[in-house]
Amino acid sequence: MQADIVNVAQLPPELPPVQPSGQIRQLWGERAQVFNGYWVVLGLFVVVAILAPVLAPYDPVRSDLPNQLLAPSWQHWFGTDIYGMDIYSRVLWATRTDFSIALIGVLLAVIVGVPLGAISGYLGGLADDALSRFSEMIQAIPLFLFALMVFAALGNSSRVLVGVVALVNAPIFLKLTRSVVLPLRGADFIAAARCAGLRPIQVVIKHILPNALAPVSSQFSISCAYAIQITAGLSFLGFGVPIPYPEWGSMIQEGASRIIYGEWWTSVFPGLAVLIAVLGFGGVGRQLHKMYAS
Amino acid sequence: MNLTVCSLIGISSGADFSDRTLNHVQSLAAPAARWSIFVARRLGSAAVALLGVTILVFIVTHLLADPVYLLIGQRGTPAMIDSLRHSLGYDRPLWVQYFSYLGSLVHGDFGTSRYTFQPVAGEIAQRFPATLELAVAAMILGLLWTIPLGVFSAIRPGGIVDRISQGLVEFGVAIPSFWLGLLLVFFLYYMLKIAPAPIGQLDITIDAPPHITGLIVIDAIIAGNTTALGSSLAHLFLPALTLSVTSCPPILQLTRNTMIQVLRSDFIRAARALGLPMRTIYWRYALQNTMLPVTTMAAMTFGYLLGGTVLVETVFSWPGIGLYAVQSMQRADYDPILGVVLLAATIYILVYLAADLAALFIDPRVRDAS
Repeated sequence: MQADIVNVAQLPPELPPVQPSGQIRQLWGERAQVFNGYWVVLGLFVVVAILAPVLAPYDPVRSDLPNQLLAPSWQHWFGTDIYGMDIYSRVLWATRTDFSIALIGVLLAVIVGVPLGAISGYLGGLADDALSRFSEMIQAIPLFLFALMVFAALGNSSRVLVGVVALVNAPIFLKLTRSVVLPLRGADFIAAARCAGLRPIQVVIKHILPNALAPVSSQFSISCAYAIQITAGLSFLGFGVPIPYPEWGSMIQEGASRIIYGEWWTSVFPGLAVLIAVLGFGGVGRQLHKMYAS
Repeated sequence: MNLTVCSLIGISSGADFSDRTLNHVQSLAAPAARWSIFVARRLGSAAVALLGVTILVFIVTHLLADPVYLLIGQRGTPAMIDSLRHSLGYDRPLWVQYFSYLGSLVHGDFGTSRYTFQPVAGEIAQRFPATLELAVAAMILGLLWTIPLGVFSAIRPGGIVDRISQGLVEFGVAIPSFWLGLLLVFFLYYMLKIAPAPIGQLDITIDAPPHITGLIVIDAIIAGNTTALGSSLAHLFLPALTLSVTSCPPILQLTRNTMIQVLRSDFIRAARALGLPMRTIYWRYALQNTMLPVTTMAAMTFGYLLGGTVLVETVFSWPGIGLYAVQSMQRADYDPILGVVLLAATIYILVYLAADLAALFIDPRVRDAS
C-alpha cells in the first residue's frame, strides 16, 4: 500500500510556516517587538513638533522676496518658496500644525465613537440599528466630497477641519468598539457582573471597555495616519489652514504650479514629511494590531 | 473613504472583508427562502442608506447654514431676507421642505449652478464620462499589477516577491496621491519629457473626436482618429497610474491573504496529491477560489474611484466630477457640490449592493444550495 503513494516524495515541498525573521528581533528579544523603527520615526516627529522654534533656522512665515525660489543650499537646506520663505523651517513648524490637527481630530473621534460603539453593541436593538445606519451613511460619501460639503456649510477654518477629521474617523471607532463589545455580551463574566448588581453603565465601563483598549489603540495610530493624509489633502485643495501658516498640504499646493518648470523642492520636501509621518503612524498601528492579535 | 483606512491597516481590512463575504456565503448555504430574505433586507438597507444620504445633505444645506443668507450675502437687510425666504419656501416646516427637496431629486432636479446658470444634473452628466474613463483606466492598471503580485506573494509568503509587494502596499497607501501625481509629472514630463503636460484629456492642439460616448478614448477609436487616441491615452496614463498605485494596494493585500488561506485548504492538498502541475493549482484552482472576496473589494474600489477622485483630478486638471466639485467650491457655488455628493454616494451604495448580490451568484456553493 505504501508503494502506491510513493510519488509524494516528488511533490514540491509544502508551504513553509511563516517565521519572523531578522536578527534585531533576536538580539533585542521582547523589547524589539514593542519598539521598532516606526516608533523612532514618530518620536522624532514629536520632538520636531515640540522643538520647532529652536530647530528652525528661519521665521516660518517671514517672506524674503529677493530670495524667492532658491534651490536647496547650505543657507536654505530645502530651498525657498515663491515668497522666499525657508522651506526647511516651514516643514519643521508644519509638524506642529499637522500633528495637532490629526491628534485632536482623532481624539475627538475616540471620545464620540467608543462610547457610542459600546452602547450600540451592548444595548443592540434600535439604537444599534440607527447608529450603524448613520455610520454607513457617512462612509458612503467619498471623504473629500463629504469634506467639501461640510466646508461649504460651516465655512473654511481649521476648526472645521478638525471636525471633519473627527467625523470621518468616529464611525470607524464606533464599528470597532461595537465589534469588540458584541461577542462579550453573552460572556459569563458579564453575566456574573450583572448578577453582582452592577448597573449596565458600570458593566460597560469596568468590564467591557477595557477589552477594547488594545484594538482602539492600534486603530488610533492608524487613524492618525489617515488624519494626516486628510489634513494634507484638504489643505492642498485650500481648505483648513490659511495660506501663510506652515502646513504640509498647502506647501505642496504652493509648489504644485512650479513643478512643471523644474522647481521641485517646494513640493517635494513637505510631501516627503507627509509620507514619512503616515508611514510611521501606519507602522506603529500595524505593530500594535499584531501584538494584540497574536 | 473607509477604503483608505482599511488599506492603511492592510491586515485587518483584508480579514474583515473575507470574513464578511464568508459569513454571507455561510448564512446563505441554506434554503432559498433564506436568501431571498437576505436579498430583500440588503435592498432595504441600501434604500435606507440612500434616503439617509439625502437627509444628511438636506440637513447640511438647511440647518447648518442659512441658504438665504448664502444667496444674499452679508449686505442683505432683514426685509430682503424675509421676502426671499418666503418666495423660496424656506419658511415652511422642515419636513415639508425635505419632501419637496426629495421630490425634485426624484425628478432629476439637482438645483442650478449659480456660476453658469445651468442645471447641475446636465453639468454633472457632461463631466461624468471623464471620471468614468479615469476610473476604468485606473482599475485596469490596478488589477494588472495587484492580482499577479498578490498571487506570487501568496505562493511564497515571506519570499522576495512578498517582501517587495508588502513594501509597495505600505508605500502605496501612505503616499499622498496628489504628491505622487506631482512627482510623476516632474520626472516623466519635466525631466524625461515622455509624458504630456498634466492638463486635461487631450493636447490643446488636437481636436476632440466627435462626441458619441463621452469617453474620449472610445470616441477616438470610433472616429478612427489615431492622433486623438494616442494623445488621450498619453494624458490618461499618469493620473490612472497615480490612482492605481494609491487605491489598489488593498486588492493586492486581500488577494495575498485569501490565497494563503485557500492554499492551506484540503482541496489544494488533494490536487497536489493527484500530481496536478503547480501552475494549474495556483492559477486555476486557487485563484478561482480567491476571486470571490477580491471581486467584492475590486468593485468597491471602483465605486470609490467613480465618486470622483478630487485630489488627482485637481493635480491633472482632469475635467471630471471631482474637479467640478472643487471648482464650484471655489466659486461658492453649492448646488453642484451637493449634486456630486449625492451622485457619488448613490454610486457607492449601488456598487456595494451589486457586489454583495454578485457574491451570491458567483459562488457555486451558494447557487447549488438554492
